[in-house]
Amino acid sequence: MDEIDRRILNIIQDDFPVEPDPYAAIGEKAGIGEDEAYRRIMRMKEEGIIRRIGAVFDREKLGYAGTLCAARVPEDRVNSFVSAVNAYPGITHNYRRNHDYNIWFTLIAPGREEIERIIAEIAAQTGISDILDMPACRTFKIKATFEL
Amino acid sequence: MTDLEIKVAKAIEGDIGAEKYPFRKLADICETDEAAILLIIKKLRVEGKIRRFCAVLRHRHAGVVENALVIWAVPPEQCERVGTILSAYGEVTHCYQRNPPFEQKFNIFSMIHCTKKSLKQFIETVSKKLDIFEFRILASEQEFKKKSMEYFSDGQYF
Repeated sequence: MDEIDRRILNIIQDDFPVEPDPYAAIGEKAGIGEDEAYRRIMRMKEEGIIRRIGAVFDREKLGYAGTLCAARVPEDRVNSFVSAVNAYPGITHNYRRNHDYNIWFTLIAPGREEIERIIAEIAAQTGISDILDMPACRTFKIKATFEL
Repeated sequence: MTDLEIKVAKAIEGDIGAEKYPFRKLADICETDEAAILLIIKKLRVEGKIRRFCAVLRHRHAGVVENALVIWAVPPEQCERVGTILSAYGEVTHCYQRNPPFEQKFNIFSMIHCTKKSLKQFIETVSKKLDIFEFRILASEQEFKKKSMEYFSDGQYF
């Protein structure tokens, strides 16, 4: 990754131009040509730096509910628990964290009842009953972009 | 949302692909013209249903960082102040008040992205600035899953 790559990423992680010639617009902002902008972006996709280019939807505006769960899972059952949890399409993040509550995952579903149903189902299916459900009551910030 | 809007939403919630003129390609997929695609994306943005149209990065690949969930025990009447200050930092990418609180007291949740080395120092600085000294750093030790939610693609909900 060189300086031009960084410049491109800083532009498109905020805003990918929604217009007929997006790569020409990016090139202009980054001080390079359309072809080079296109080539570099394709390369960074192949290298895995760019996960995807597309829309980020607003969960609340679409009428969906979300929550953060923390589960206390004995070490020898972590793998099977994680597999069971990750099988749900509404699980978007799942991490091991350094706490007695060692497995932390986010869950999105069409409503609160569905969230509660899924958590109960996970508990029943895995035998792990200590799962905390901590929905946000106030959102201060969501912005996963970084100056590179 | 109209049928066409849902079709477009489905086509853009993943990756728009490797076409040099991606919106022309999307028009083909959605059986409409490019102008209609651009207009629908614009409309969904104005309505706030689309928060951003952008490249989503893998931060580790981009050379950025580790992430840590840092949770703070904040008296209810101070949540507004603390949330506002935290949100002003670039390193803080997500910040929520959650209810019920974790361990009956940790109610403000901040996701922090910075280098592992600078994390501790950063949090100490922030703690002083907030005047909140009861916090926990829950480092992410292993990533099991990370993806964007697909609201439209499985046809289950819309």
